[in-house]
Amino acid sequence: MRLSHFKIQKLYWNTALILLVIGVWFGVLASSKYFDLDIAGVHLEMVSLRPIHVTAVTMWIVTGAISCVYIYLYSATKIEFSVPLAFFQWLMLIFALMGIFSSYFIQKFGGREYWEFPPVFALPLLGSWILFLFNLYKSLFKVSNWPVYFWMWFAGGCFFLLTFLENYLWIFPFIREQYIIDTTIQWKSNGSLVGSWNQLIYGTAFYLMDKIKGDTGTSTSRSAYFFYMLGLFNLMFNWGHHIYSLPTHNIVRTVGYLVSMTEWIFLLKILFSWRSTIDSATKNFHYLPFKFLMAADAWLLLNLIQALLMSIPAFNLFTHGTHVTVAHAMGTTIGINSMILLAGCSEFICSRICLSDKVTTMISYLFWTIQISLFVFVVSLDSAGICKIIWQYQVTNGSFTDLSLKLKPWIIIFASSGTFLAVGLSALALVLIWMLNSPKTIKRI
Amino acid sequence: MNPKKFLVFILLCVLYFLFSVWIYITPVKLSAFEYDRSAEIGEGHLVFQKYNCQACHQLYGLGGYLGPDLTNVSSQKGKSSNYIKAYIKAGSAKMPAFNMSSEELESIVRFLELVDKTGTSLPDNYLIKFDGRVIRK
Ligand code: HEM
Ligand code: HEM
Repeated sequence: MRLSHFKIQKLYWNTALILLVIGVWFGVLASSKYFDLDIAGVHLEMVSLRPIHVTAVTMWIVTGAISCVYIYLYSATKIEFSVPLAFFQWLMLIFALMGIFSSYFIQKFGGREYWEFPPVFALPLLGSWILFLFNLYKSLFKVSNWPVYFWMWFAGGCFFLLTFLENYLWIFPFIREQYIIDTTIQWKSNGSLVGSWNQLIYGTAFYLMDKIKGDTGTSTSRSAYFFYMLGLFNLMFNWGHHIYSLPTHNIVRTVGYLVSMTEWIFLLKILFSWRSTIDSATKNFHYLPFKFLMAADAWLLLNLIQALLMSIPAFNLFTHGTHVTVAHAMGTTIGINSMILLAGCSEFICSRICLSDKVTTMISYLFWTIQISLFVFVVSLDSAGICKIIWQYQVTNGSFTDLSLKLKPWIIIFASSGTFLAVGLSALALVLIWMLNSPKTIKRI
Repeated sequence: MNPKKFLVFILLCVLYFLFSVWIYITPVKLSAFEYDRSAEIGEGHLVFQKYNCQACHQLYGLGGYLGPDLTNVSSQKGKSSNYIKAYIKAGSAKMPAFNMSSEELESIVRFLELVDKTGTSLPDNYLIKFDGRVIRK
């Protein structure tokens, strides 16, 4: 591999990690709004803080996924991607992000939830993704026998494009004027969009597992393809649980419910392979990327149980619109997606430099700070959600202010554990940035 | 790329495509409107987006969590259109005051009235079935 390729991979990781640092601290600022605080004299309204937080962290996930694909696609195929294309893709992404963040700061909105920026900035994002697909498919189509992670990158790439476009159907009055259809489409596309980046990220996890174990058995087995197809099926049809309470077509609800129940198969698989997972964990736990993959596995189990319950309409009726949903949203994006990405980044670094004992110990402390604070964070959000559910049944016509007071103790725990989480994640991100850019790393391309 | 696996992929894509198009073009029947279709709701939604009300408020339980769900605010006792307009203009301890034009205010209030007519977001309006489904009462 040439130096220019390495520089692109580093550029993407630096960008992703900086977005993570920005994202978590804006999360802390957003949580302070529950207490009417202006931390460090920063006066920004929730209208700006929430979108800055959510956009920065989702873009950390998307950019991190792109970085992993650029690194491991090359390692797996030995086919070089086009550097000018990848660089131009990065420029478009940065242009879009600058536009998006400045419009949030000056309170110029116009988009929908998670994409609240004026829709024109979706164009450079779209352009940037298309360039990425060129680079990805150019390499993929030169290989004939695809391991499962190639399939995942292939499907994740194209469905991200499709669902991103679908997310903007509301700009046509024909769609916007039908509120129920419009909302159905919005959550259909948001659900599938998350499924698409999951495909890119899980593909990376498969690749890393093979690499760490030193055999290709996992990613070429029949069961791996079966689970890939099941994942794809869920990406396409498992989004109905967002809108069970919306008076949309009954069939949307039924399909959503039935398809989401196929996720029990994932749960069973995890439980059955738990023994061997534990065995390999004890063998490899000292190895940093493996640590993150194991953390992702544990969070996958916990989140899957919660997600399965939330997908049953009878449960969803109560949990929908409460902080249980936030617990699920952040539990999965931090616990599963971010952990796999951190595994991807640390493997990139660990395969180039040998970490000193001091750095290893420091990272280990940060690792446990993140896991413990994330656990408290998720439990406090779930508890706030359960508190609201109980309140709804005890009090008829209660005021929102009463409810906010009831939730306050949990929100205090949420905000404090969130601050620890932000410290852990951003310190880790800074250590990774420092190692990525250390001259020692460059020497061993 | 293995042809058999590619075929399964294509088959799933065809199913996905058909389901998506069916959703786009099949109107939903609602009791309040003949069909779920109104230019005013489309206009009002743009104003809701312009001021990013969704950062704190939910509609059908979807949105931010700092403020209350607004799906049925229009039909709640004592929450007339004037109350809503005054609330948006004046704000509260936790909600900023919004400097909207009078057309935008009208439009957003009408939007909330129409959303209210599409249905309800409260759990007590549903019956739970033994198989885990829920049915509107
Ligand atoms: C233009 C967009 C918005 C509209 C149309 C809107 C509308 C309303 C209405 C009608 C109420 C009264 C609900 C009731 O009495 O039941 C309300 C309450 C509330 N809103 Fe908003 N709102 C908007 C934006 C926001 C934003 C951005 C925030 C967060 C910073 C927010 C936070 C709140 C809170 C916390 C309450 C509860 C009252 C309180 O505790 O002070 N709203 N909103
Ligand atoms: C990598 C780290 C993080 C990721 C990926 C992440 C992701 C998300 C996502 C996806 C949402 C939207 C949730 C929804 O709409 O249901 C959200 C909301 C939020 N997050 Fe995070 N988050 C992260 C870290 C943090 C941290 C450290 C805090 C600090 C307390 C925080 C505070 C918040 C707050 C206050 C909201 C808004 C909840 C509301 O509407 O009231 N997040 N985050």
